[in-house]
Amino acid sequence: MTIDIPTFIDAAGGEVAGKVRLQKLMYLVDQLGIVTGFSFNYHHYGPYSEELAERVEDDVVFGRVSVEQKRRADGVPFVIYRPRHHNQDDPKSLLRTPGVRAALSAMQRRSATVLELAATIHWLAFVEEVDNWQAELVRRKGVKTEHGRAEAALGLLVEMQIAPA
Amino acid sequence: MTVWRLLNTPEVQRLRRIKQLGVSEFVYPSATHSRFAHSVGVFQNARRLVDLIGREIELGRVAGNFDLERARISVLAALLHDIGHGPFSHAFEEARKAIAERRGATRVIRKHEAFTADMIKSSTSQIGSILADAKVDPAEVADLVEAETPVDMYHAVISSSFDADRLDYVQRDRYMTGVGTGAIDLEWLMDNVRVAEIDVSPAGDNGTDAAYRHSFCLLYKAREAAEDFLLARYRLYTNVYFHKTTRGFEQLVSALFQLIAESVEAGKVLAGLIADHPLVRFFSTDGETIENYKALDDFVVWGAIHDIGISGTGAAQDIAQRLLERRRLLCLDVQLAFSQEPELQRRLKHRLDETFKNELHKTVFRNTAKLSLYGEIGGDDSRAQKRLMIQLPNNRLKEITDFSERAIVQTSNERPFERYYFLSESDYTRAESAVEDIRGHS
Repeated sequence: MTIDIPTFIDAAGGEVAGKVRLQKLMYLVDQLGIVTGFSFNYHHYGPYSEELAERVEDDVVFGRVSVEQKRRADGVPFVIYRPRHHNQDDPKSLLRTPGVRAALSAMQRRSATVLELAATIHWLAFVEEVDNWQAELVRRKGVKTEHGRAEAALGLLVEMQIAPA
Repeated sequence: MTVWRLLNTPEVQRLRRIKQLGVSEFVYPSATHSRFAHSVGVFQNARRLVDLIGREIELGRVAGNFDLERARISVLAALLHDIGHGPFSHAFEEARKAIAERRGATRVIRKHEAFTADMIKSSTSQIGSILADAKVDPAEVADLVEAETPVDMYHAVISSSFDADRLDYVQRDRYMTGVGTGAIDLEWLMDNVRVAEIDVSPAGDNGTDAAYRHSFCLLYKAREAAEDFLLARYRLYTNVYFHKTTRGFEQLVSALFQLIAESVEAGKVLAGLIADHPLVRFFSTDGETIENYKALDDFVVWGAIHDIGISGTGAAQDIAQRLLERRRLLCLDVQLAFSQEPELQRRLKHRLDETFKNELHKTVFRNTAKLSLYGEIGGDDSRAQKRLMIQLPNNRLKEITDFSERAIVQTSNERPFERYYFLSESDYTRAESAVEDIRGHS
């Protein structure tokens, strides 16, 4: 059983911009102890769940999630996901708890690159158990770690209380 | 001299025994070219691209000085970029992934780039000492091969929208398969390549947290040639790399690898193989060493297929004989069954997964892939450095599909390729019944 995607998007503020953002939000929520039901592997943009991608595609095809095609200023395309209908989610859903809502809100205020870095830090430290995850993060993510983004990513994990020591 | 010495190392010579397109020769009989030939082609393209960087710096279109050290590293990385490929590259990685999952591994398998990096740095290979003699740090060459995020314009030679690798395979694979589509105007493209700072961040933030690195782009006047270039690659995927018969034979090869691994796990050796066979060594516990990996190539695997086909037993022998005699699996193509009907395609996929949940990976095989204009999607999104940017006369950059007069379109939905393959006629008939049933209820 996996988490309901339209409900998840609702809890994240009603829309999620970009596939990378959706994947990293789900991974980080999973680390909060919410059982999303998705398993993750490491890919180019960090932790990624093929099952989640499949589930989203199902929801798009069966009309539960809408996709809007957008472009950023340099023309690079991306998508925005929204639930088709406002979801009356299960009142007992952990997504409704203030802590999770606050975490989702905090994540949504960060850029996709920062989320990519935060998820990758967590993955390196806790899944791959890389001792010097800081160096490995720079090795894998290079320019993305510059301009305070790596610090911002770690700060997010601290705020969510899932940062490595 | 360094290049000649590297070409003559066992690691590079091994590439003569690994076919660039694996089992594609079952569909395109002349597609028998090796990764060795491809690597030499990539090296030659890298030299041209490095010269091009020098030209851009000399003309003052890129700030700074030409970095000869970095240029040498990128050219050598181009030559060595494929040495970590295993036999039947795609099928081998698929099988290793399935084996790792069954064995409960929590981490993803090491991909060929990681093996390449390890081979370059290995103290037991000659490559490290040859590079050291040339005053090149092997670790820097390995890092360039493995880098997942754009580093600089010299890295763009190895990984970008216009890198040395794709410039070779787009032409070589087309020529060797004989497919008619996908010609490119290489000289016009080369004339119009420029270096610019490109935003390599994920797209969803609308550029609010941009991360810039130097990479290749193309001038506006080469936009149509650039479209042809992207389309050529796309057509190679649809016509060659994702060909349903090729993918079917890959399933058979992958299944055979998995049967060998299963027998090793059970403490046995598959009938037809010797106890010390390189595949047995590789699939043993902790057997994924560089030395064991280097002992594998297409020739070794074909030898095993031959021996299992003659002296093997059961499912392994059946699969080996199918490969030897080119006996295809029965195939149900989900997109073909319900063309232009994505909802019915999804229903069929779920129905087949449920119907054959006990047979999957044993007698029924599923092969899925997704394709965008920028190639196969193996994760969240296309790699940022693979986006093809066009430089306008005012020096601004624009993604190639964002022109009103475009001939190619970037859609949000990647094109799926979902096929189910069957060893038995009866299972295939059950699958066809599922198609009829869904059609009847639609």
